[in-house]
Amino acid sequence: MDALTDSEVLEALKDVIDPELGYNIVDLGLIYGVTITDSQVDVVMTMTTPGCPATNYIESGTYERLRRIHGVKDAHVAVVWTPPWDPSMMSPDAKSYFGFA
Amino acid sequence: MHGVRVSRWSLAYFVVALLSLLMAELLLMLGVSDPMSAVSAGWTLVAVHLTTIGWASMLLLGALQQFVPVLTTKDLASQRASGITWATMTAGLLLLLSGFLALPGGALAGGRWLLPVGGSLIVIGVVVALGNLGTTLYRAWPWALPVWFIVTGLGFLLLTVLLGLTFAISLTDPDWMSPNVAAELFGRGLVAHVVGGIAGWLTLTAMGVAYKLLSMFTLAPEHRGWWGRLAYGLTAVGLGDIWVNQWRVVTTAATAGWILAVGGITVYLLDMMRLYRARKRRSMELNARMARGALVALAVLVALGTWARVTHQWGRWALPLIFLGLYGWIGGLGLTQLYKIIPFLTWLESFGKKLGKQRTPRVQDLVNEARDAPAYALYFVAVLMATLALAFHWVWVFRAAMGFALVATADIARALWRVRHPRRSKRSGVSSTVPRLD
Repeated sequence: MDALTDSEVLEALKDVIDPELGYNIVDLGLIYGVTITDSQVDVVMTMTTPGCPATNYIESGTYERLRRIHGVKDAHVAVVWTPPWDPSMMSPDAKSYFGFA
Repeated sequence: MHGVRVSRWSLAYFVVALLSLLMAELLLMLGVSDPMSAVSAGWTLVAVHLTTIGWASMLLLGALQQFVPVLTTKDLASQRASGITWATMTAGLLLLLSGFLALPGGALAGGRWLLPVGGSLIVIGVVVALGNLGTTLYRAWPWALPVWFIVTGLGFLLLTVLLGLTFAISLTDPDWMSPNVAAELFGRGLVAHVVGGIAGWLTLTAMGVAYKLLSMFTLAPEHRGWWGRLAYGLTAVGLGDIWVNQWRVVTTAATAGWILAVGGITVYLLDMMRLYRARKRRSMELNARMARGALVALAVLVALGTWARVTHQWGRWALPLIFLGLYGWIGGLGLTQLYKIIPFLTWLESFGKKLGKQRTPRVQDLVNEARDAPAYALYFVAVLMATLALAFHWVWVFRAAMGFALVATADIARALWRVRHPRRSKRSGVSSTVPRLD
């Protein structure tokens, strides 16, 4: 089996959305880092607003999606608040979707 | 886990709020409640308190059960206390409304106990809410700017309901206090009740909530800097000054309070313009687009209120301006933000646990903005029409305007009901308002 890559993980995580903004967490810039060790994936991510009641769902949804990637046996999601998320962290596609370049 | 729990009771508060608003609009449309000819009549008091307690206060208290945890990143101290406040305030409101109809010459015979018992239940509900929200806020010191607005608003809420209970007891037992004290109470006290309730509680709290919500929804900077601090400081000190000096014969001090409060709200409105201009989300959703109608209503309220005070026409404009504040500013903001909050809470309930396991819709997919936008436009036009009708004493225009407002509110309530109860396709059994998930 080919080794899992960061881009495969990020592509899979595009299935997870921030429900309020209605866009995937990868293009929103919420994923700060992906570390792959054998069949384990560790993701460091943030949220748009601390205290948002959707936080727990997005965190567990990210974990669930990671576990469904072929070849992943274990996953860990760490939510951090520094650096705080800013709209400038969005991908060009997401910025275009929300109407700013 | 890093997020806060979803409020178990907010939706129950919103149901009472919307039903109260619909009922108030119906009574005003039918002319059963007629603020132009009989402000203190039983049925008019029913419509007024359906609007202020049933609609606006239940709406804000329901929103705060979820919003305070978001602001503080701390879970609500007690979900049970949230339910107790809902139950006591709903029961208290029903008894209070019945009590107004049991006043001498009213539609109900007897029932002298209804007003004080209803008022007491409302005070109990508010005290429980203050304890619950206050404990949550205490754990989050130091406070962010919106929290300062909310805490000050909650202080005014307590003053307002305590005064209201005093009125309720006095109406039930006129011999409870001397005629001189009663005259003061129903003169200056009534103004303090209105100022404390509409400006202190509802407006300050709505200002704080709107600061956070609209910056979140439009992707605008949340930190408002000295603009926000100045808006809060001037408005809070000004309203406090007006409230205190309402009880004293010091018109200069009260005038200073008016100037400060008007200055504070003006700074706030200018800062909201800055917020909208600085937003990253250029294509706004309906709730953020239409919330500008509520902010315009607040701006008109401040401008007309200043003009009426300077030209000594307050007597003529007080009623229209109170109406504009309740229906245009607070009502408009409430109806527009419910259009986001209810779908969001519904999404968390219905799809939150499916995230990452299957494709999920967006919150926006639970509503149909193109279908629902005209109702909001109609609502704001109806409120403007009703405000002018109150100012110029056009009775039938006012009733027609309230009919339009009723139709608009009913259509918005229908849209929100549809979010909670999506139609299901007969063939597939899948909701037709939500995209297929897999």
